[in-house]
Amino acid sequence: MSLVPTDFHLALEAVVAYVDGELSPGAQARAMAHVTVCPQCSFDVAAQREAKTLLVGTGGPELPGSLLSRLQQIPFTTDLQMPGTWVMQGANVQWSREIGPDPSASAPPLTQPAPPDRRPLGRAQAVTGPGSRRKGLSATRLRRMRRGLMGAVAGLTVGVLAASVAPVAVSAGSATSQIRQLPTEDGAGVSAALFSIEEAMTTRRFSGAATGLR
Amino acid sequence: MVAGYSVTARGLEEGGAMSEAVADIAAWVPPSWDAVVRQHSARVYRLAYRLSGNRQDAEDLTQETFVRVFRSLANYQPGTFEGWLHRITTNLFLDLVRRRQRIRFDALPEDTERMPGSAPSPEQVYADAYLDPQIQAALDALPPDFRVAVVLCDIEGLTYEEIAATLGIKLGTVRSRIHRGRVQLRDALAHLAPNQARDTA
Repeated sequence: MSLVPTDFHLALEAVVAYVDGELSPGAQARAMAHVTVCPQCSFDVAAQREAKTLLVGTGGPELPGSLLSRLQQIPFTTDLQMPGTWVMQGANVQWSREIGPDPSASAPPLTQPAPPDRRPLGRAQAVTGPGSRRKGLSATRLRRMRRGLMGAVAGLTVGVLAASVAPVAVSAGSATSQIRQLPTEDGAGVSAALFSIEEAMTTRRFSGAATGLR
Repeated sequence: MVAGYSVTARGLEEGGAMSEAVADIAAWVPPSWDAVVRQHSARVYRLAYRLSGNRQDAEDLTQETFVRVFRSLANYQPGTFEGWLHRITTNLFLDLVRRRQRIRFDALPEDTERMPGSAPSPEQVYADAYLDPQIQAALDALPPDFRVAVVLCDIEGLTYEEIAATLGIKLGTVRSRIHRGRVQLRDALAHLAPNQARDTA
Protein backbone atom coordinates (compact mmCIF):
# COMPACT_ATOMS: atom_id res chain seq x y z
CA MET A 1 0.00 0.00 0.00
CA SER A 2 1.45 3.28 -1.01
CA LEU A 3 1.24 6.16 1.40
CA VAL A 4 1.34 8.97 -1.10
CA PRO A 5 0.28 12.31 0.33
CA THR A 6 -2.80 13.96 -1.11
CA ASP A 7 -4.31 10.51 -1.39
CA PHE A 8 -5.28 10.52 2.24
CA HIS A 9 -4.43 11.95 5.63
CA LEU A 10 -4.03 10.37 8.98
CA ALA A 11 -7.15 10.32 11.08
CA LEU A 12 -6.87 12.75 13.96
CA GLU A 13 -7.00 9.86 16.39
CA ALA A 14 -4.08 8.30 14.54
CA VAL A 15 -2.16 11.56 14.74
CA VAL A 16 -2.50 11.74 18.51
CA ALA A 17 -1.72 8.06 18.95
CA TYR A 18 1.33 8.46 16.72
CA VAL A 19 2.61 11.36 18.84
CA ASP A 20 2.15 9.33 22.01
CA GLY A 21 3.64 6.17 20.55
CA GLU A 22 0.38 4.34 21.07
CA LEU A 23 0.19 2.81 17.60
CA SER A 24 1.28 -0.72 16.89
CA PRO A 25 4.87 -0.86 15.58
CA GLY A 26 3.70 -1.41 12.02
CA ALA A 27 1.18 1.39 12.11
CA GLN A 28 3.71 3.65 13.78
CA ALA A 29 6.18 3.08 10.94
CA ARG A 30 3.53 3.67 8.29
CA ALA A 31 2.38 6.84 10.00
CA MET A 32 5.93 8.10 10.24
CA ALA A 33 6.50 7.43 6.55
CA HIS A 34 3.38 9.39 5.74
CA VAL A 35 4.08 12.29 8.08
CA THR A 36 7.50 12.88 6.59
CA VAL A 37 5.99 13.55 3.18
CA CYS A 38 2.62 15.07 4.05
CA PRO A 39 2.70 18.74 5.13
CA GLN A 40 -0.78 18.74 6.58
CA CYS A 41 -0.30 15.69 8.79
CA SER A 42 3.16 16.91 9.67
CA PHE A 43 1.58 20.13 10.90
CA ASP A 44 -0.99 18.24 12.96
CA VAL A 45 1.71 16.12 14.54
CA ALA A 46 3.83 19.16 15.34
CA ALA A 47 0.87 20.90 16.98
CA GLN A 48 0.19 17.89 19.19
CA ARG A 49 3.86 17.61 20.11
CA GLU A 50 4.04 21.27 20.93
CA ALA A 51 1.17 21.07 23.40
CA LYS A 52 2.53 17.87 24.89
CA THR A 53 6.01 19.33 25.35
CA LEU A 54 4.60 22.16 27.41
CA LEU A 55 3.18 19.74 29.93
CA VAL A 56 5.52 16.76 30.02
CA GLY A 57 7.81 16.66 32.98
CA THR A 58 6.19 19.52 34.78
CA GLY A 59 6.14 18.94 38.48
CA GLY A 60 3.76 20.44 40.90
CA PRO A 61 3.68 22.51 44.00
CA GLU A 62 5.19 21.03 47.10
CA LEU A 63 2.80 19.13 49.29
CA PRO A 64 1.99 21.48 52.17
CA GLY A 65 3.19 20.16 55.49
CA SER A 66 -0.13 20.93 57.12
CA LEU A 67 -1.88 18.77 54.54
CA LEU A 68 0.56 15.92 55.09
CA SER A 69 -0.15 15.82 58.80
CA ARG A 70 -3.88 16.02 58.18
CA LEU A 71 -3.58 13.00 55.87
CA GLN A 72 -1.58 11.10 58.46
CA GLN A 73 -4.25 11.81 61.04
CA ILE A 74 -7.08 10.49 58.90
CA PRO A 75 -7.44 7.22 60.84
CA PHE A 76 -8.05 9.25 63.95
CA THR A 77 -9.99 12.14 62.54
CA THR A 78 -12.28 10.44 60.10
CA ASP A 79 -15.82 9.70 61.00
CA LEU A 80 -16.50 6.18 59.87
CA GLN A 81 -20.23 6.68 60.18
CA MET A 82 -20.24 4.82 63.43
CA PRO A 83 -18.51 5.64 66.65
CA GLY A 84 -15.38 3.71 67.35
CA THR A 85 -11.87 3.29 66.19
CA TRP A 86 -9.13 0.78 65.72
CA VAL A 87 -7.19 -0.06 68.82
CA MET A 88 -4.54 -2.55 69.75
CA GLN A 89 -5.68 -5.27 72.11
CA GLY A 90 -2.62 -7.36 72.72
CA ALA A 91 -1.64 -8.54 69.27
CA ASN A 92 -4.99 -7.73 67.75
CA VAL A 93 -5.94 -4.57 66.03
CA GLN A 94 -9.62 -4.49 66.50
CA TRP A 95 -12.53 -2.32 65.88
CA SER A 96 -13.65 -0.90 69.15
CA ARG A 97 -16.57 1.26 70.03
CA GLU A 98 -14.92 2.13 73.27
CA ILE A 99 -14.00 5.70 72.60
CA GLY A 100 -14.55 7.35 75.92
CA PRO A 101 -12.03 9.89 77.13
CA ASP A 102 -10.35 7.35 79.39
CA PRO A 103 -10.56 3.82 78.04
CA SER A 104 -8.41 1.85 80.42
CA ALA A 105 -6.18 -0.64 78.73
CA SER A 106 -7.46 -3.51 80.82
CA ALA A 107 -11.11 -2.94 80.03
CA PRO A 108 -12.30 -5.39 77.43
CA PRO A 109 -13.31 -3.52 74.31
CA LEU A 110 -16.69 -3.99 72.77
CA THR A 111 -15.41 -5.47 69.58
CA GLN A 112 -17.41 -6.73 66.73
CA PRO A 113 -16.70 -10.36 65.92
CA ALA A 114 -15.69 -11.07 62.39
CA PRO A 115 -18.51 -12.78 60.55
CA PRO A 116 -16.82 -15.04 58.01
CA ASP A 117 -19.52 -14.68 55.40
CA ARG A 118 -19.23 -10.90 55.37
CA ARG A 119 -15.58 -10.79 54.54
CA PRO A 120 -14.92 -9.30 51.15
CA LEU A 121 -13.42 -11.31 48.34
CA GLY A 122 -12.31 -14.31 50.30
CA ARG A 123 -9.19 -12.62 51.49
CA ALA A 124 -9.85 -13.30 55.10
CA GLN A 125 -10.29 -17.00 54.42
CA ALA A 126 -6.89 -17.09 52.90
CA VAL A 127 -5.54 -15.35 55.92
CA THR A 128 -6.51 -18.27 58.08
CA GLY A 129 -5.70 -20.88 55.48
CA PRO A 130 -2.66 -23.10 55.30
CA GLY A 131 -1.06 -20.97 52.62
CA SER A 132 -0.45 -18.11 54.95
CA ARG A 133 1.64 -20.06 57.41
CA ARG A 134 4.74 -18.12 58.07
CA LYS A 135 7.58 -18.21 60.50
CA GLY A 136 8.08 -15.70 63.18
CA LEU A 137 5.96 -13.37 65.11
CA SER A 138 4.87 -11.17 62.27
CA ALA A 139 2.81 -13.81 60.49
CA THR A 140 0.65 -14.49 63.48
CA ARG A 141 0.37 -10.88 64.31
CA LEU A 142 -0.47 -9.87 60.81
CA ARG A 143 -2.97 -12.64 60.55
CA ARG A 144 -4.65 -11.52 63.70
CA MET A 145 -4.50 -7.89 62.75
CA ARG A 146 -5.98 -8.69 59.38
CA ARG A 147 -8.66 -10.81 60.89
CA GLY A 148 -9.48 -8.09 63.32
CA LEU A 149 -9.56 -5.45 60.66
CA MET A 150 -11.48 -7.43 58.13
CA GLY A 151 -13.93 -8.22 60.82
CA ALA A 152 -14.01 -4.61 61.79
CA VAL A 153 -14.76 -3.44 58.31
CA ALA A 154 -17.14 -6.26 57.56
CA GLY A 155 -18.70 -5.72 60.91
CA LEU A 156 -19.61 -2.13 60.16
CA THR A 157 -22.99 -3.11 58.88
CA VAL A 158 -23.49 -5.52 61.69
CA GLY A 159 -22.32 -2.89 64.11
CA VAL A 160 -24.93 -0.45 62.92
CA LEU A 161 -27.57 -3.06 63.42
CA ALA A 162 -26.22 -3.95 66.82
CA ALA A 163 -26.10 -0.32 67.83
CA SER A 164 -29.78 -0.01 67.25
CA VAL A 165 -30.69 -2.83 69.60
CA ALA A 166 -27.90 -3.25 72.09
CA PRO A 167 -27.74 -1.26 75.33
CA VAL A 168 -24.28 -0.15 74.32
CA ALA A 169 -25.96 2.08 71.81
CA VAL A 170 -26.32 4.61 74.59
CA SER A 171 -22.61 4.94 75.12
CA ALA A 172 -22.02 4.85 71.40
CA GLY A 173 -24.44 7.66 70.96
CA SER A 174 -22.83 9.75 73.63
CA ALA A 175 -19.51 9.13 72.01
CA THR A 176 -20.77 10.74 68.87
CA SER A 177 -21.18 13.94 70.76
CA GLN A 178 -17.45 14.03 71.33
CA ILE A 179 -16.96 14.65 67.66
CA ARG A 180 -15.90 18.20 67.30
CA GLN A 181 -15.23 20.47 64.44
CA LEU A 182 -11.58 20.96 63.69
CA PRO A 183 -10.52 24.52 63.08
CA THR A 184 -9.33 24.78 59.52
CA GLU A 185 -6.66 27.36 59.25
CA ASP A 186 -6.46 27.09 55.52
CA GLY A 187 -10.16 27.49 55.03
CA ALA A 188 -10.53 24.05 53.59
CA GLY A 189 -13.74 23.62 55.47
CA VAL A 190 -12.79 20.09 56.27
CA SER A 191 -15.14 18.80 58.84
CA ALA A 192 -13.29 16.17 60.72
CA ALA A 193 -14.43 14.10 63.61
CA LEU A 194 -11.81 13.95 66.26
CA PHE A 195 -12.13 11.19 68.74
CA SER A 196 -10.68 11.74 72.12
CA ILE A 197 -9.22 8.27 72.05
CA GLU A 198 -6.25 9.74 70.33
CA GLU A 199 -5.04 11.30 73.54
CA ALA A 200 -5.90 8.24 75.56
CA MET A 201 -4.03 5.80 73.41
CA THR A 202 -0.46 5.00 74.21
CA THR A 203 2.13 5.44 71.55
CA ARG A 204 2.33 1.73 71.05
CA ARG A 205 -1.35 1.34 70.56
CA PHE A 206 -1.42 4.32 68.31
CA SER A 207 1.25 3.03 65.95
CA GLY A 208 -0.10 -0.46 66.13
CA ALA A 209 -3.45 0.67 64.96
CA ALA A 210 -1.91 2.50 62.07
CA THR A 211 0.28 -0.42 61.09
CA GLY A 212 -2.54 -2.83 60.72
CA LEU A 213 -4.68 -0.67 58.49
CA ARG A 214 -5.44 -1.88 55.08
CA MET B 1 3.78 -0.96 39.47
CA VAL B 2 5.13 0.01 42.83
CA ALA B 3 7.39 -2.50 44.46
CA GLY B 4 5.88 -1.95 47.87
CA TYR B 5 2.57 -3.23 46.67
CA SER B 6 3.69 -6.18 44.62
CA VAL B 7 2.34 -9.48 45.68
CA THR B 8 4.79 -12.13 46.75
CA ALA B 9 4.37 -15.53 45.23
CA ARG B 10 4.28 -18.29 47.77
CA GLY B 11 4.60 -22.01 47.82
CA LEU B 12 1.52 -23.98 48.64
CA GLU B 13 0.67 -27.32 50.08
CA GLU B 14 -2.36 -27.56 47.87
CA GLY B 15 -2.26 -26.79 44.18
CA GLY B 16 -4.63 -24.99 41.90
CA ALA B 17 -4.62 -21.55 40.40
CA MET B 18 -7.42 -20.37 42.60
CA SER B 19 -5.78 -21.19 45.87
CA GLU B 20 -2.53 -19.78 44.58
CA ALA B 21 -4.24 -16.51 43.88
CA VAL B 22 -5.81 -16.58 47.29
CA ALA B 23 -2.45 -17.29 48.88
CA ASP B 24 -0.91 -14.43 46.93
CA ILE B 25 -3.43 -12.10 48.40
CA ALA B 26 -2.82 -13.58 51.82
CA ALA B 27 0.89 -13.00 51.39
CA TRP B 28 0.34 -9.37 50.65
CA VAL B 29 1.54 -7.35 53.57
CA PRO B 30 -0.67 -4.37 54.16
CA PRO B 31 1.26 -1.13 54.29
CA SER B 32 0.92 1.11 57.27
CA TRP B 33 -1.28 4.14 56.82
CA ASP B 34 1.75 6.33 57.22
CA ALA B 35 3.49 4.50 54.37
CA VAL B 36 0.46 4.92 52.15
CA VAL B 37 0.36 8.63 52.83
CA ARG B 38 4.08 9.18 52.44
CA GLN B 39 4.32 7.21 49.24
CA HIS B 40 1.35 8.64 47.39
CA SER B 41 0.36 12.00 48.81
CA ALA B 42 2.71 14.15 46.74
CA ARG B 43 1.56 12.59 43.51
CA VAL B 44 -2.11 12.79 44.38
CA TYR B 45 -1.68 16.43 45.35
CA ARG B 46 0.11 17.23 42.12
CA LEU B 47 -2.64 15.61 40.08
CA ALA B 48 -5.31 17.39 42.09
CA TYR B 49 -3.49 20.67 41.61
CA ARG B 50 -3.13 20.26 37.87
CA LEU B 51 -6.78 19.35 37.54
CA SER B 52 -8.24 22.02 39.77
CA GLY B 53 -5.71 24.73 39.04
CA ASN B 54 -5.61 26.03 42.58
CA ARG B 55 -4.15 25.05 45.87
CA GLN B 56 -7.34 25.22 47.88
CA ASP B 57 -9.24 22.74 45.75
CA ALA B 58 -6.13 20.59 45.40
CA GLU B 59 -5.89 20.26 49.18
CA ASP B 60 -9.58 19.46 49.51
CA LEU B 61 -9.39 16.89 46.72
CA THR B 62 -6.30 15.26 48.18
CA GLN B 63 -7.81 15.09 51.64
CA GLU B 64 -11.03 13.62 50.33
CA THR B 65 -9.16 11.12 48.17
CA PHE B 66 -7.28 9.76 51.16
CA VAL B 67 -10.40 9.69 53.30
CA ARG B 68 -12.01 7.49 50.63
CA VAL B 69 -8.92 5.33 50.52
CA PHE B 70 -8.99 4.94 54.27
CA ARG B 71 -12.64 4.01 54.30
CA SER B 72 -12.34 1.39 51.60
CA LEU B 73 -8.87 -0.05 52.09
CA ALA B 74 -10.49 -3.37 52.90
CA ASN B 75 -11.67 -3.64 49.30
CA TYR B 76 -8.30 -2.75 47.84
CA GLN B 77 -6.92 -5.24 45.36
CA PRO B 78 -3.14 -5.45 45.48
CA GLY B 79 -1.42 -4.15 42.39
CA THR B 80 -3.79 -1.40 41.39
CA PHE B 81 -3.11 1.11 44.09
CA GLU B 82 -1.97 3.98 41.88
CA GLY B 83 -4.72 3.39 39.38
CA TRP B 84 -7.14 3.38 42.25
CA LEU B 85 -5.82 6.72 43.50
CA HIS B 86 -6.00 8.24 40.02
CA ARG B 87 -9.56 7.06 39.69
CA ILE B 88 -10.69 8.47 43.01
CA THR B 89 -8.95 11.80 42.47
CA THR B 90 -10.25 12.36 38.96
CA ASN B 91 -13.77 11.30 39.86
CA LEU B 92 -13.81 13.62 42.85
CA PHE B 93 -12.57 16.43 40.63
CA LEU B 94 -15.26 15.82 38.02
CA ASP B 95 -17.87 15.67 40.79
CA LEU B 96 -16.62 18.98 42.11
CA VAL B 97 -16.84 20.56 38.67
CA ARG B 98 -20.38 19.30 38.16
CA ARG B 99 -21.43 20.51 41.58
CA ARG B 100 -20.05 23.96 40.86
CA GLN B 101 -21.79 24.04 37.51
CA ARG B 102 -25.07 23.25 39.20
CA ILE B 103 -24.51 25.96 41.79
CA ARG B 104 -23.73 28.45 39.05
CA PHE B 105 -26.79 27.34 37.19
CA ASP B 106 -28.87 28.02 40.26
CA ALA B 107 -27.42 31.52 40.28
CA LEU B 108 -26.00 31.19 43.74
CA PRO B 109 -22.89 33.05 44.70
CA GLU B 110 -19.95 31.05 43.51
CA ASP B 111 -18.12 31.06 46.81
CA THR B 112 -20.95 30.08 49.12
CA GLU B 113 -19.18 27.05 50.45
CA ARG B 114 -15.76 28.56 50.64
CA MET B 115 -14.36 29.82 53.85
CA PRO B 116 -12.33 32.97 53.77
CA GLY B 117 -8.94 31.61 54.51
CA SER B 118 -5.27 32.09 54.47
CA ALA B 119 -5.07 30.91 50.89
CA PRO B 120 -1.87 32.13 49.32
CA SER B 121 -1.98 34.90 46.80
CA PRO B 122 -1.99 33.99 43.11
CA GLU B 123 1.61 35.08 42.92
CA GLN B 124 2.59 32.62 45.61
CA VAL B 125 0.68 29.86 43.92
CA TYR B 126 2.37 30.46 40.61
CA ALA B 127 5.76 30.90 42.15
CA ASP B 128 5.91 27.35 43.45
CA ALA B 129 3.76 25.68 40.85
CA TYR B 130 6.58 24.95 38.39
CA LEU B 131 4.19 25.40 35.55
CA ASP B 132 3.89 28.60 33.65
CA PRO B 133 0.79 30.47 34.85
CA GLN B 134 -0.34 30.89 31.28
CA ILE B 135 -0.11 27.18 30.66
CA GLN B 136 -2.05 26.43 33.82
CA ALA B 137 -4.59 29.04 32.77
CA ALA B 138 -4.91 27.42 29.37
CA LEU B 139 -5.27 24.06 31.06
CA ASP B 140 -7.97 25.48 33.32
CA ALA B 141 -9.81 26.78 30.28
CA LEU B 142 -10.18 23.28 28.83
CA PRO B 143 -13.45 21.43 29.32
CA PRO B 144 -12.91 19.25 32.42
CA ASP B 145 -13.18 16.00 30.48
CA PHE B 146 -10.45 17.10 28.07
CA ARG B 147 -8.33 18.48 30.88
CA VAL B 148 -8.42 15.22 32.79
CA ALA B 149 -7.39 13.23 29.72
CA VAL B 150 -4.54 15.59 28.84
CA VAL B 151 -3.24 15.81 32.41
CA LEU B 152 -3.32 12.05 32.90
CA CYS B 153 -1.47 11.55 29.62
CA ASP B 154 1.09 14.34 29.57
CA ILE B 155 1.70 15.15 33.21
CA GLU B 156 0.99 11.81 34.87
CA GLY B 157 2.38 9.78 31.98
CA LEU B 158 -0.43 7.24 31.85
CA THR B 159 -0.99 5.10 28.78
CA TYR B 160 -4.21 5.38 26.81
CA GLU B 161 -5.30 2.09 28.26
CA GLU B 162 -4.71 3.28 31.81
CA ILE B 163 -6.59 6.50 31.11
CA ALA B 164 -9.49 4.56 29.64
CA ALA B 165 -9.61 2.39 32.75
CA THR B 166 -9.29 5.36 35.07
CA LEU B 167 -12.13 7.27 33.48
CA GLY B 168 -14.23 4.33 32.38
CA ILE B 169 -14.24 5.42 28.76
CA LYS B 170 -13.27 3.81 25.45
CA LEU B 171 -9.84 4.08 23.88
CA GLY B 172 -11.27 6.05 20.97
CA THR B 173 -12.70 8.57 23.40
CA VAL B 174 -9.34 8.85 25.13
CA ARG B 175 -7.61 9.58 21.82
CA SER B 176 -10.16 12.13 20.78
CA ARG B 177 -10.18 13.94 24.12
CA ILE B 178 -6.41 14.17 24.25
CA HIS B 179 -6.25 15.34 20.67
CA ARG B 180 -8.90 18.00 21.06
CA GLY B 181 -7.60 19.02 24.47
CA ARG B 182 -4.11 19.61 23.10
CA VAL B 183 -5.43 21.55 20.12
CA GLN B 184 -7.44 23.81 22.41
CA LEU B 185 -4.53 24.19 24.80
CA ARG B 186 -2.30 25.31 21.98
CA ASP B 187 -4.90 27.70 20.61
CA ALA B 188 -5.47 29.23 24.02
CA LEU B 189 -1.76 29.79 24.46
CA ALA B 190 -1.46 31.30 20.99
CA HIS B 191 -3.99 33.91 22.04
CA LEU B 192 -1.97 34.74 25.11
CA ALA B 193 1.73 35.29 24.74
CA PRO B 194 3.05 32.32 22.81
CA ASN B 195 6.72 33.26 22.95
CA GLN B 196 6.70 33.83 26.65
CA ALA B 197 4.81 30.64 27.22
CA ARG B 198 7.33 28.66 25.27
CA ASP B 199 10.34 30.29 26.85
CA THR B 200 9.36 29.78 30.43
CA ALA B 201 7.96 26.30 30.02
